[in-house]
Amino acid sequence: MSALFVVVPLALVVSAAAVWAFCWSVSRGQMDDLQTPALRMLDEDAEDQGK
Amino acid sequence: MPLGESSSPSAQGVRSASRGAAGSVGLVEPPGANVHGSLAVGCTHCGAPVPPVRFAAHQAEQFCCAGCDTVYHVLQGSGLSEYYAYRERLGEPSRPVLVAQDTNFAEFDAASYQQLYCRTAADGRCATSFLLEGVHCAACVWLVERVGRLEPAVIEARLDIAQARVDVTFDPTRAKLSGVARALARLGYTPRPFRAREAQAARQRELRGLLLRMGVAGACAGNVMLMAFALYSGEFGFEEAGTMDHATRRFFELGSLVVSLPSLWAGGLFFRGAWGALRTRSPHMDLPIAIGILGAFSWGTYGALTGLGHLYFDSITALVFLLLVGRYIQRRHQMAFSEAAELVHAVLPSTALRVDLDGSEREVSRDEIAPGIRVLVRPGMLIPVDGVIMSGTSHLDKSLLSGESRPVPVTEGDLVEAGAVNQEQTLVVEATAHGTQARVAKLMHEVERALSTKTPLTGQADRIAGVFTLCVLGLALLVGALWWSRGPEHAVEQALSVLIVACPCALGMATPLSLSAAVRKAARVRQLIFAPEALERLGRPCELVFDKTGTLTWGQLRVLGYDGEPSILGAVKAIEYQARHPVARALWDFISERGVADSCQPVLDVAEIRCQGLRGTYAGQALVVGSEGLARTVTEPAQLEAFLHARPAGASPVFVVVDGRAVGRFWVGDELRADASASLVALKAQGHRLHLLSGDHPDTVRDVAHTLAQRASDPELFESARGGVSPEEKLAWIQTLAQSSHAARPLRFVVMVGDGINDAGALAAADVGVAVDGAAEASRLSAQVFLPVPGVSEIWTLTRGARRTLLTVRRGILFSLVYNVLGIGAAAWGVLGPLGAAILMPLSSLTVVTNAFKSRTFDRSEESPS
Repeated sequence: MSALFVVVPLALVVSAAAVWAFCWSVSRGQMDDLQTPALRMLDEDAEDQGK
Repeated sequence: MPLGESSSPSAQGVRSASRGAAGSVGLVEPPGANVHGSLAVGCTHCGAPVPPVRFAAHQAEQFCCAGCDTVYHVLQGSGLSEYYAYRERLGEPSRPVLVAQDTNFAEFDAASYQQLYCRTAADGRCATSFLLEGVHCAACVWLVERVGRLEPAVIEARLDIAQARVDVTFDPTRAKLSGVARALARLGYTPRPFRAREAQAARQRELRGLLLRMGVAGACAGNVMLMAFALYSGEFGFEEAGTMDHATRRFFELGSLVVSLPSLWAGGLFFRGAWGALRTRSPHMDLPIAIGILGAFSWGTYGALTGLGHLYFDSITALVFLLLVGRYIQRRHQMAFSEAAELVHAVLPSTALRVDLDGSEREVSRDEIAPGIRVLVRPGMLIPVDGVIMSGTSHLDKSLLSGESRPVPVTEGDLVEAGAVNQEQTLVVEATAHGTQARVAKLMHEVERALSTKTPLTGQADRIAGVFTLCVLGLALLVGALWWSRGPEHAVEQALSVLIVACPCALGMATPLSLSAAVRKAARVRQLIFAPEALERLGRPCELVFDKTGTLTWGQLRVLGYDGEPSILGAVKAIEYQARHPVARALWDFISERGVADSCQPVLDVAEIRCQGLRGTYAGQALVVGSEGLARTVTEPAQLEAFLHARPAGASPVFVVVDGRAVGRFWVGDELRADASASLVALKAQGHRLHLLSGDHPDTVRDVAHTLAQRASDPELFESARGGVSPEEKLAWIQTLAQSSHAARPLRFVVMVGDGINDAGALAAADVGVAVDGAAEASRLSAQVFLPVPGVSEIWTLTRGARRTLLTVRRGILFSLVYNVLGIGAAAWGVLGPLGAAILMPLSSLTVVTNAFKSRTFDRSEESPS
């Protein structure tokens, strides 16, 4: 069971990093518009096909 | 003068910009099409039927209107024609173009505008935002973001489709802002100034803050739940693994304490809400939540530190997370309300053309206009100030300003009001009041006041929550007291179980989730609901107050019927071609749509008789086309009487007299929308009480009410029908009605349905304001619901959707109450431990979520009343 004492804090550090990344992206406004980027993605695709 | 296709009598200039979607009325579904039919040819750009008058034989491309024609050729010419292939691939429906192509957007170049709405970066780039009309699909995103191909000065354009807002960065040295706006308009999307920057920024900050808390709470909940799993499985001791050793258990206990700490920060807003509820002594859902969280957390901390008792951290973190999800969804759907003091800008142009005595013209800000200053008002422009006409004769369109359906003739010496649209000739107006003191500006201040003092009525969940909160707190104390005999620890534990399982998590989510799911579904059928609470009110029987002009009718003069010799129509077309009066346009459109060719003989000596009609010589005969008054001067009244039967509601006759002989009669009026009576009957059947409140002439209003009642074969269709009501009276009338109907039992909400500036006050004062297609911007801003699709049946669809939403909300509340009652009972009995509570809580939330998203609320597939 002693492995847990290392692995669990490590996992927490990893998830803290994920939370930090999330906070960073929110404060940079990446989550402000959740609708248009999905459509825009379609559109890049369409352009590539056209070429 | 083939302006008719763009349907509004003055497609050019400010009116179309200020009325925007009004132009679309005729384009989406030409009102004339119902009457005269149209060819079964689809528009190359938008697929709408092409009216006969626009049908061009021997051409591959056909267009339903000038707008589509222009956009199509702009796209072809700028290498953006892939748009069509792309749109087809996506299977997106298309819409006709709603743009006045010849607006020049000069007001965007004013220094005062740029100062307010543009940001200039250090490298000289200029950034601004517009609201775009008509964006609806992925193909629109594609097209709008390629506006740079039309206007190379545009460096970047990013569209936010949910808010229909485009953020543009451009190089001000290469093009003016008006050029950028024109490029967007040429693509078929009318740009409007984006005027809610402050409110928008505040909303963005709030949403980002909520999202941050939600993310943190979610991460905590997930991690704590993993540790709780370890603890629970250790506690039960699976046979092969044996029980958890002491050190590991302590590690997980203390670990989950540490990890759940950020959750307390995330849930901080519930503590603030609870504190507010305590201070104002109004029990609020935040109160049991806060007590539950704090109580369970301190008890859990005690348990974790001493190693005795239960932890509850998994329940608390999950609770905070789920509640924040509900809060976030709820807030996301509340649109940023327009800032106060912005409405005036939506009604009046911010600049005016000042003329000095030496005849020089220059553009000045409207605020600078003082009494005595003269301004020039070109045809199609809004009158910027209250004043007196110094020179010029014209007709003013006041339909949006006062609800009058007929253009008002004005000449030198007449008083004019700011906000009316000049239709024919250039006028010189001398201001009698300061630019900021115009009557309509004062009215808008009234509207703003009505909007800001509007007390939000408490939603259903909040009201239940008040009672619920007190019950839960009482019950928790009671349970604690009952178990006291088994020792204080046991008592606290059971009381906390009650609090946690009773935390009205599902109750808190039932309303916002159902409402926001309904708002999304409504948006899919093109009904835009800016304030989700409006649905809760619309779902009950309401007092529905309708405006007439533009709401029950089309809001434009049209020919409703012709009786007489068809052979004279060619001559009438020729004579009307020479006049700019709106009636003349209506006649010309009507005759053209019937495919009548111009007469081969010219009409000579055409003279306009003011406010009466036209006179001319056709094939050697005296031709008179005009009102009854004019016709009486040239022919026998008996001849006219023969034509005066079966008068449509609110219509007046226009006679054709040839050499003293009446040969034909048109009915000209503001036509009732085709689905009006059927929809009103259906609305009444839903339990609503109907009222008619109009600024138009009382006779016309009575006429329309009578016709509608007759068609509905219900003489008491309307509870009341009033005409000649000024905008201020409308507001006061709504307020009085609201007062009496709020006092009545059962309580009824007042819903105002309107489109004009004169309705803005009433829309703001009503419990729910519904702006319909063609609504003036000020009305749209003061309403909570906007229905861009024409038709009175839209209101029926809206109330039916609201009714279903209310049912969904009630079902959700019922589910969560049942869960809570069962859970509380079990916890009070001591059957339900912390584990059971932890399982039961998300389960009840899941039921509520499924309920909210699965229910069919807004749906167009079913039949409508007409």
